[in-house]
Amino acid sequence: MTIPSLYREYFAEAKKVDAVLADRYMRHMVLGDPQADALIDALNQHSRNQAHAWVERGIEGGPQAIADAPDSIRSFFADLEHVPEWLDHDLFLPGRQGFHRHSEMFVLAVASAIMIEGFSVSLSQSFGITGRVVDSGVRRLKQNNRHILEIMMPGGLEREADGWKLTVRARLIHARIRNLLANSEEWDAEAWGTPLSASHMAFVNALFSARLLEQVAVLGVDLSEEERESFMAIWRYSGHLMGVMPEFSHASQSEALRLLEIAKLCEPPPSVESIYLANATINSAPLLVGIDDPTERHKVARKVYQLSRGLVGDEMADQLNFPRQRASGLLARMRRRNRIDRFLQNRFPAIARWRRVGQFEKMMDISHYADAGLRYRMPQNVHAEKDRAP
Amino acid sequence: MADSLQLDFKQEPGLLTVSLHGRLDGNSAPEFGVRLAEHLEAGATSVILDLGGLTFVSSAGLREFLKLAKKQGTHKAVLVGAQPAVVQVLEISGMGSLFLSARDGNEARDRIGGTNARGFLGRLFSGQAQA
Repeated sequence: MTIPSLYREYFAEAKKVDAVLADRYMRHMVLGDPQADALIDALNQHSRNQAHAWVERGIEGGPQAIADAPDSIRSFFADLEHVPEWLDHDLFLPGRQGFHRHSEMFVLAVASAIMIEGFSVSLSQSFGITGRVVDSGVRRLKQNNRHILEIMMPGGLEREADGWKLTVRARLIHARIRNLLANSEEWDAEAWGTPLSASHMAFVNALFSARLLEQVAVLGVDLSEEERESFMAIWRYSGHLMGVMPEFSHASQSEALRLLEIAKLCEPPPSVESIYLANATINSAPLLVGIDDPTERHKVARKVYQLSRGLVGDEMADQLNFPRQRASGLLARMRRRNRIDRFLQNRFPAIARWRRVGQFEKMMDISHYADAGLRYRMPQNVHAEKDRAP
Repeated sequence: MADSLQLDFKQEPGLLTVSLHGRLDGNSAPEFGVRLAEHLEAGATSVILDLGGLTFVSSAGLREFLKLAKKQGTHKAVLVGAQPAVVQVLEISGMGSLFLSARDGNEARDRIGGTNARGFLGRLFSGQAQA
């Protein structure tokens, strides 16, 4: 098994805790997404406009919409039409209801903890080189929010729905960036393995599902067992569409949390790129909600830092150079606030309706919508600034 | 208009009725918003959205509904005949609370002009809202 040099020392320690899972994690660190990578290789043989047209028509209409494409391209879209045997769309409703009842808290946990934990591992190498998180950072956060919102809409992961299309689009963008990075002199494959590796894709999926459930619980969000299982099922299918390998297709929260635990042991400490990306994300949060006055922005960012420290813990916060401040009081206040909110929502249906409308409206405010509808433009350059839309 | 959605606009003095057939999603919602705004500029004070033929709404579609509710005021816009899949979306997002609801066009006209035309808070607390 090839172990990228960056991980060797940590992998040896992780093996002592769970050899099977640590092996699996490291084995997939040198793999990407074989099907999507083959598609990108095939698309690269054609003109940019032709490739774009096939991607757009393939996502919108499936293989029958790209009868003029070679088999190597059509087969990817044909495979996407096959659903896994465990898929049951009817299971998704309770998770979506739980999400929309507390969407403010879910979004807050994503921005202040889930993305930060994602950048704390060596995945940050890929994003650091491309600059795609920092360049047009607010727009990219909004695109991320839109993606989450669409998969959390009833019917959102059915074939014709926006959540399905945006998930597949994200998979292809990852594959395209993987291809660009792998062919770039800046990428050190011997040290880092494969860019946006299969392991890191699984890690991110586990963060957005199992870990997100843990983090919103810390904020006082109380979901039922049925809602939590349903939320995991939504992300399991989203992960399938995103190209997460079957070896990492987790049916339960505990399985996904175990992966995160072992993965963190395999990973080196946060790098310079991790520090840069995590701090950029926190500082983008006020802009995301429309606060651009410098004083107010600084005040809000400081609160987000405080919340983030409370959620990711002092050790990681220190490694990421977050300001030193106590977070326990803030977390306690948020839990109290959410307990009162829950009591009022349970007691007074009108308040529950009012809260749902307000949260949904905010969620739309911080999501990206384009006047021209869904777009499937693939990156053309390693560095984001060269791809910036005119 | 994207193939996924067909629209039919019927303009009467002070009232615009829009029938939607198909899917109001990320591809069709922007143009739906543009065409709805154009028709509203013709002077309609009340709007009936006939959702009987609508099979799916994404957040992009709800965003256009929200713009309508803000522009018209919530007692001047009625949703008619939503199918279960669409009702589920209106419920989970709470967006149904922003509109009056009716079973058919006649009831919708009654609700716009009649005493049942409560404001947002009235519907919210009476439980008459869609969601």
